[in-house]
Amino acid sequence: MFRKTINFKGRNIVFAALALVLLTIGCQKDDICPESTATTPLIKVLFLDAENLDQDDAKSVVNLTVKAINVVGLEDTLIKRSTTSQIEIPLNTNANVTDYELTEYARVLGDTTTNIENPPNTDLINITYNRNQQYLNRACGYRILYENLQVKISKPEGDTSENWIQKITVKDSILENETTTYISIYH
Amino acid sequence: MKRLPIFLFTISIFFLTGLTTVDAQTQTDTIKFKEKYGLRVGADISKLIRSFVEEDYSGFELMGDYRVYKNYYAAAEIGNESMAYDSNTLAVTAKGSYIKVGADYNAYENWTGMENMIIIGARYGFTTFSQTLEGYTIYTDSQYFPPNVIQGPFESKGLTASWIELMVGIKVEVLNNLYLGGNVQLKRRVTQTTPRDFDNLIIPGFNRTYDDSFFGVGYSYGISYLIPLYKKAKN
Repeated sequence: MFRKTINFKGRNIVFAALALVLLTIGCQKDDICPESTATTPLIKVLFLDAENLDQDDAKSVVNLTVKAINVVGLEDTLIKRSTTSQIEIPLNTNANVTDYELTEYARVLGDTTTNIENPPNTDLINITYNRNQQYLNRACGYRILYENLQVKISKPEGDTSENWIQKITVKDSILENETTTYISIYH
Repeated sequence: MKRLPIFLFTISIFFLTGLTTVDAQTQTDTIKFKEKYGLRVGADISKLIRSFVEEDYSGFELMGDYRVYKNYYAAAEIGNESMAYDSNTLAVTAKGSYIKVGADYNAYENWTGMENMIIIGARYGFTTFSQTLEGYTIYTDSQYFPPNVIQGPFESKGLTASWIELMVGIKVEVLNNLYLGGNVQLKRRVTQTTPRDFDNLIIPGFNRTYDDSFFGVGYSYGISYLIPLYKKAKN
């Protein structure tokens, strides 16, 4: 009885269209930002040997601790006592400036030993930049790209020790993704 | 999107009951039955229900069709929608009016005296609307710094979009000249104007868009009344 009531060609079109609609709904990606998307970039920092400025030899920093300062409500340490020649740091997307404390030979909290061979030494780096907003897609929303990146070295107030960082260079001022080297620190 | 399976289920029941009631008829009469031709006007009930149930939605749609020749109908819808889209990183709202014009084909061969429809339809849709970015958060992989939340609203007015649409559906005459019907729609965007450095995430009449895709989906469930203008024998 059904076979008679719907004409054959029409029925085929109905099923094809229904299948198409269901397929369209079924195949859509979730609205989750994929990890592979280049969103707001991190800044790659390379630690290089200051004795051979032309060579660009990697030189690890021993027990490096990195912490952002001058941000209201931020007390966390980004990197704790890591011995490494390469780190990635985020910049503050709320401001055109980010200040970091970089401490070499950082000590375990509560350790107050004096007269050690390599005392902890803290340098400050002041990074200034322009922020450019860019729309990515529905799931990731907006990212910030940094331009005119500049870095200055200083010491915490009242700290009379010598800078352990000898020289800083910024290789590229326009940061498009996370894979390129941007800041080189010679020590 | 969870509503759609429920809707499909509902119309499938509808569809079955519509067909089985046909069994009660007998084919004994030999009088040539005349079919009604006329203008059918109606409204989308689902959009009215959504307006009451969903906090961030309001909309209505009027629909009309005119039987031109045998199984062919000229059809149009006109509507207005205000809708919202939220994700983890941003929130937008859009509002605007749309019109859809096209044709329906009735693929259902009725028993004598019945005037139900299985519709295959095509439309061209056009809308003018505004989209407002209510606020967004800068996306970062690192959660070290406090998030950068930017509060809107940032409104983009005078946006347009057009699309073509393929729809399948049914219309069942439940009382004399009174029809209940539903359809599902597959849409393909043809043109659009987008806000500067942004995208159209929702479009009135088209519903939500998908990144990297021109397609969209929709549905309608409505009640309509046939104003019979003349009768013509089925041959």
